Amino acid sequence: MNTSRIPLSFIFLAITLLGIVETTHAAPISTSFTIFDAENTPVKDAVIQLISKNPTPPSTTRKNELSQKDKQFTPFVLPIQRGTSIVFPNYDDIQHHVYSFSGIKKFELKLSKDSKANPITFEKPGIVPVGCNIHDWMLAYIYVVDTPYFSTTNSNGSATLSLPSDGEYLIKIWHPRLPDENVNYTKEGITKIVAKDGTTKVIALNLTISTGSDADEDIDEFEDY
Amino acid sequence: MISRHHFCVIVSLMLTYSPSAFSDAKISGIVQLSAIGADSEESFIDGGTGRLLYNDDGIHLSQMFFVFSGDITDTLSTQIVGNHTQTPESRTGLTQAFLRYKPIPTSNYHWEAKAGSFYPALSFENVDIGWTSPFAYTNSAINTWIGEEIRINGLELSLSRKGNRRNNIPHSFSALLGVYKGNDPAGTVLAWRGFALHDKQTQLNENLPFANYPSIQTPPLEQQNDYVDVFREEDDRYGFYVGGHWNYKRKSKLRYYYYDNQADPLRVSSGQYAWHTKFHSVSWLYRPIKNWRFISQYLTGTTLMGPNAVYLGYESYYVLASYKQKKHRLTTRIDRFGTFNKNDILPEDDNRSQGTALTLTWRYAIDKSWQIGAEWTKIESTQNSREQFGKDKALNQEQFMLILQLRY
Ligand SMILES: [Cu+2]
Repeated sequence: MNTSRIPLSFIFLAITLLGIVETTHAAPISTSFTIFDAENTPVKDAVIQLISKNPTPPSTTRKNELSQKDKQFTPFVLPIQRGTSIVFPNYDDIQHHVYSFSGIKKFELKLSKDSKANPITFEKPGIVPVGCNIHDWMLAYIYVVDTPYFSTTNSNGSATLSLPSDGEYLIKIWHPRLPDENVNYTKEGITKIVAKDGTTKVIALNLTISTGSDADEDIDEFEDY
Repeated sequence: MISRHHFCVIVSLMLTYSPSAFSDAKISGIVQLSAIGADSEESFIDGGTGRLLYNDDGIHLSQMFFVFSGDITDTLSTQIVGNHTQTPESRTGLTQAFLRYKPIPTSNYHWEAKAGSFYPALSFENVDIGWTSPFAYTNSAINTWIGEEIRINGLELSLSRKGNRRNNIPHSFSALLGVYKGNDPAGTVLAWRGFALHDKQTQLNENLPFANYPSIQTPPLEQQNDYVDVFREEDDRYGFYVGGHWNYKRKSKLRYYYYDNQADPLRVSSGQYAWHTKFHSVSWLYRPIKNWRFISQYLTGTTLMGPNAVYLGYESYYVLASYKQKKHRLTTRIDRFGTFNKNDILPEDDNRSQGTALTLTWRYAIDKSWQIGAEWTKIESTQNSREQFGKDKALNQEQFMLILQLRY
């Protein structure tokens, strides 16, 4: 297919995979991924998860934080492992009223400055859009994954995952602008990767992602009536 | 009177709930001093025919208001706006007082309700606290009139469909319906004075003066006072408005409203007629890139008083461009406005007018609290009713202001 004929609303997403092996079979493998779109622009906030048939429990406990600052959520996309929890610190001087009506997890939290909200635990895998009832534009995504091996891409489009050993993994990629209508766990782009000694692979995925950068979602300094 | 009734409700709410009962009570506001190089034409506020608020050079307290906002429950909040004015005389009162109920959404459709005294969200100009404009200090002709004569004493319901990136929908939509009482004399000031340009918002129980035109001193209009008690109820009929909002991200926003106070134009009491006033308003906000915004609004309508005694059409639009660079904001706005007779039975009471205004504003935010600014306004217009005083119907005015503003 010739990419120049693709309608503007679709961009191909390609993944560059760099498998870096430390030493032997038993040592952990640090694996870097970089995601670019068809225009070679790095894709930020994509969730990468690797699924192994024999997963090991997570060796480190992550600090999962969905904070509010300057009337925006940080991070925009927060992946967490199923069964773990998130805290919601408010760094603004004003209140936020954070909520989700997702079938994966419904909750609401009224958060004042420095208020200590109890952590919320997520038991079901899936995507949880989070909003604020005071600031309608505030939006974030919690992605509850069912694997210990996951990360989001940074502004360079890259993410590094630590794998316990080489072997076969299933890779799943998700991004908020992937046109995945139902919030189920099945429609991500899936392919298999094999992490092996010193290999570099480029895997092209036929994922369609809608155009538009997060930059044009900048907030208006003036609110409404 | 309906508006006074609302005061009682709000005041008793304030008394019932001590401040500690509000989980997030906050008071903010603006105090603003203006050094004005005024136009010498006597202002309507002092009984003249000028379209501006000041006719004396000097330093004026041009804004002083507070905004109290507090949450009564997680989803029920209140906002009360009170101001102090010195035009035409020292006076303190409320301009808005309402409750807002906004339940937590349970789907992509959100609804909310507002009850009390408030403005319908017609435009993108008066989006700062207390319904002031963060762009020019002087409101557009349209929103000067809205601040003078339009206020909802009633209930508004809105239903919104929020777009978001998850669903790949960059568009969001809202539908609004308002029902209210009061606001029966709205339209009065447009008939004789025409449109004006200033930032005064009529308090809920304040009378807005205008010149004592000879045509309202003699029959058949002798019952009309030389002021308007704007938010008065005359006929016990409900007025309504419907509105629609369409947002494309935060880049382009469109709003349409239709307002109809459904007043009975044959009612008159205490020197105040009911005016059947209806209008369409379309507003557009466009933010092509981060530092720029363009705002435009078009309003057209009619107002009818008595047995076709005054039947007036009116129309206005403005185009505003605003550029922000760090602490500086530059705004320019062009206003066009006009009123025209629609076959009423009193040709000797000629209500025709038309005009153009240019406003240039610079604002500099020293810090979060202090702001300085400067503004120049020029109006070229005609107002036929001025001939009743033996004046030329041409009315050209110019005003320069230096502003010091404190936010708290
Ligand atoms: Cu918020």
